[in-house]
Amino acid sequence: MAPTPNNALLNRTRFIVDKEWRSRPSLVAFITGSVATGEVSSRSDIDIIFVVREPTCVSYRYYMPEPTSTSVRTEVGRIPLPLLEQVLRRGYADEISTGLKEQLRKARVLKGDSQLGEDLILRFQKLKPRQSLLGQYLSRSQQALGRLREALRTGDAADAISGCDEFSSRLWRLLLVARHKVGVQKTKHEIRAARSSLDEDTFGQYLSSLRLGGITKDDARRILQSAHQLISIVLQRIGIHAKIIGSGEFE
Amino acid sequence: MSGQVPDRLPESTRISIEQVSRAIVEELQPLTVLLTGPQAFGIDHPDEKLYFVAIVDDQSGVIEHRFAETYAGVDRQMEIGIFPRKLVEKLTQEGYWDMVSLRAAEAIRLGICIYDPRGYGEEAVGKLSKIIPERRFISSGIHRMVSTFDDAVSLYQRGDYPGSVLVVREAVRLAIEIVRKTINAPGEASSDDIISDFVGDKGVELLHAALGLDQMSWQEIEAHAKRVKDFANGILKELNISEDLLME
Repeated sequence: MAPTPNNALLNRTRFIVDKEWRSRPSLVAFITGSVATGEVSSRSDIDIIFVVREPTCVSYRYYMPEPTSTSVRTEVGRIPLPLLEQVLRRGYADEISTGLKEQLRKARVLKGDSQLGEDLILRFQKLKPRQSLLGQYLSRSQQALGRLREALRTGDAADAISGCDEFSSRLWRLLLVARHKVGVQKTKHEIRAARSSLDEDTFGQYLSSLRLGGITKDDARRILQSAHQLISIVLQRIGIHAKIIGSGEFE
Repeated sequence: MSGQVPDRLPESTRISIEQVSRAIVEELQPLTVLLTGPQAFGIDHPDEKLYFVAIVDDQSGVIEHRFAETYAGVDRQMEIGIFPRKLVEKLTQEGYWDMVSLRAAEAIRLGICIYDPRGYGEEAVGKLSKIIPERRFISSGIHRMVSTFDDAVSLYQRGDYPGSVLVVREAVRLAIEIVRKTINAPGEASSDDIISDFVGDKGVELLHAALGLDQMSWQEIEAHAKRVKDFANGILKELNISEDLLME
């Protein structure tokens, strides 16, 4: 059974859902993301999806702490049912369809036609990637291998190690989609998919090929601090204030 | 309509822009409609989305983005940002404060007013050009880098330390790509050279620390690359994919 979502966030979610529903009634409203699964942290946003009948455009409304009076960043998506049906018919492959799969497979119905809502959740949980994803991943693996070979030839350490990481990552994605029928777009989803799909030994190989075996909290903290500093300097040099990163604890 | 759609754009694109703009005016009764994104620079690729901003007289402060495949009889992907006046006023007075506000500020800053009966759009563009002096379309790459870094922090906070390191390396690769594009570096230029030119030696030191290179010799890197290639062969064999297909 899924953990119970944080009540304050859930109440805030219901308030926004009711407000949005009054102005534009929909077929069904879902809460998605960490509030739906109960895995909330201090950085959690509220993610809501309304399913609408009309084959209109996809839209997102953002309640930001500034300039609205909301305390938690809230994103309200309006997705036409015909688009969801199309994704369910074809499978997922691109950023939009993979994103919908990620959101809806762990959604909870909050308002509206609960039968339709539960049916959509179930179908998104079972949704498989499109065959074309194999070709996409293979082509990306080829490109990554090309970069790795070039870096090994020129003796550039940063590009060689980065090339190894990229090549490994692409190959594991290829394996995940071919063997386990799991496609990912974002890197954070890759390690989650690897953890839940691979057996212990193979997951160990995954970590080892990506130089992630034995990473401690201190290692991760040190690496995140260096990356934060580098990204901040890059932003400053291109004339953008580093305050947009918003992860103060790694300054 | 007021303002000038760049002459360099093909006539069909200019007609589509006028059509969409008229429909936005009719539907939203905005204060102003801006053309933004690459087309605002006069650059048009048929596969590229059309980008518009409508500033509306709404005090809620809620931002809306619409993604359409077809609108106002125009069959082309487009994104329409609907920004409330309250947001625009805060941006012009105080500047951006986070990623979302940076993207909104940039979209307005680049904008060409195609409907602006009261001069509100021109005024907003003018004020934002003091906050973002250079007219560049760069925030989508920055957004990817920052949100990837943000994902790494979330994983760290949830105790997934290998996950946070995997994701932060991706953020670092995106940072290098941004620098590569900014300085228009040739394809063969190495990451070390690019970062060294743009940030200096301190940047290279940070890059190596972020990639975990500060603890690896060249021999160890070569040995790791060999292990990765062995893994690759194993995976390809298991998937019944010819090695040659990858090695081509």
